[in-house]
Amino acid sequence: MKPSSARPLAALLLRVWGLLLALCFLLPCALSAADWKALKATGYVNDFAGVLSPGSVRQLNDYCARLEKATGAQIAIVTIETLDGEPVDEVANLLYRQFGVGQKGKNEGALFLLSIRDRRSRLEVGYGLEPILPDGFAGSLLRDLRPALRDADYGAAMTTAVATIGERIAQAKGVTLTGPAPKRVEKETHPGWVIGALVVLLLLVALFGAARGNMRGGGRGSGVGDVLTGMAMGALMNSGRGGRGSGGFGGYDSGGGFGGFGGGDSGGGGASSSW
Amino acid sequence: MKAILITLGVVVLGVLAIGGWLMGVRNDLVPQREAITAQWSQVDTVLQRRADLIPNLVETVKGYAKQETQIFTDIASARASMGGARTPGERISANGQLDSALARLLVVVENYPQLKSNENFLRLHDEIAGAENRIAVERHKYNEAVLKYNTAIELFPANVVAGMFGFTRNDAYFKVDPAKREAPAVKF
Repeated sequence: MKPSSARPLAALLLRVWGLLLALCFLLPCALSAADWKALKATGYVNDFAGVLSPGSVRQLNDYCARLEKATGAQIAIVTIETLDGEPVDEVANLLYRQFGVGQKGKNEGALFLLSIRDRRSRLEVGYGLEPILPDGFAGSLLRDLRPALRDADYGAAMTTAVATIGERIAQAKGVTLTGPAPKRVEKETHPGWVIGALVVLLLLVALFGAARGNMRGGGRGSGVGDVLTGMAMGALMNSGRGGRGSGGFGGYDSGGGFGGFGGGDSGGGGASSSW
Repeated sequence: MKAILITLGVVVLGVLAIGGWLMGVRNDLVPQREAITAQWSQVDTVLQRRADLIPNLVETVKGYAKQETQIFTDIASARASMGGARTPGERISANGQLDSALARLLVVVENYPQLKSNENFLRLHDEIAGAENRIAVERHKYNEAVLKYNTAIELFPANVVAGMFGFTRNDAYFKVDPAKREAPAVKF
């Protein structure tokens, strides 16, 4: 009696296990399916694909804030992982209208969209900026970005692009932008795992040093430990500086932060390209 | 006497309420009908924008591909029928003709590598592609306006008011050919 009742139980367990496994595989797909309406603007830069370094994001945000203060024009930068087979033009227009880039009624806004896996780019131009950023100009700018995009240097591509259209807008409005243009940020020299490894090393060295110190009752051993600890800590602090410092241009008026987009509209101006 | 007065009062109030409601519904429908006209003029502007860009593109292509006379004739006749079309329905169908002639031109261009790398051509192509995207966006907004209006006049009880004041269904929708949407885009 027992084996026959155990078998269905085993079968049931197997089925549950199978379901769980299937769920594990399905869940990421379900999450990554196109739900553009769920994307909310968090700033000028919306790096949904996670391909921009913190330094680049800060520089771009700073520059866009200053541009808005000086000219009233708003720029959005959006990176996404994939378009899920939808045309880049439609996704860019949908995101533009959803975010509402540019002030309502004036519609002076532009939105850069990079879809990383599809290698598609688009500059969507709001009604108000159409005379300043004609489609031919937008297309030629996107073609100029191809080499940087092919190198997966998305931060450099976006800083160049934003500076180019920023200058063009400022010139058309007869104003000058204060502060530096966003500068090319070096690719992150210290990815997260290096910092993690350094923390582990630091802990090990500290433990090792402490253990040796206890065994010998101080003296030379703990001295070596201290030196190693110091070196590891120095490296850590350096890496921290590298990450933050790459965007470090203190001292100028950054023009305040992101105050939200203004409800602008776009009629599909701009251009698309691929890389 | 008192009863008659009360009845009269109730009737007057009822007539006033119904009249007010009728006016409210009508005043709601008018702007929706006007929105279609306004959005149509947006569509018409971008249709014209593309039609105006085509001669430049054709001239540039002719510089490299003189022998493709058939396609140039097709484009010219499509543009001519576009110029003759007046009502939204006519414009929509003439525009479809221009769509297909232009698509064939861009396929032809694929055979001329020198033309494809010409910066002037690339910019013109961007302008044309931009105009087409504007058409797509504006006609989407236009369809939305038509749909909103058609829904509004057909829902009860507004349909009664719509019938009384002569609000009729507007069927000048843009239809997007699903096969065309999936056609591989020519990339430069």
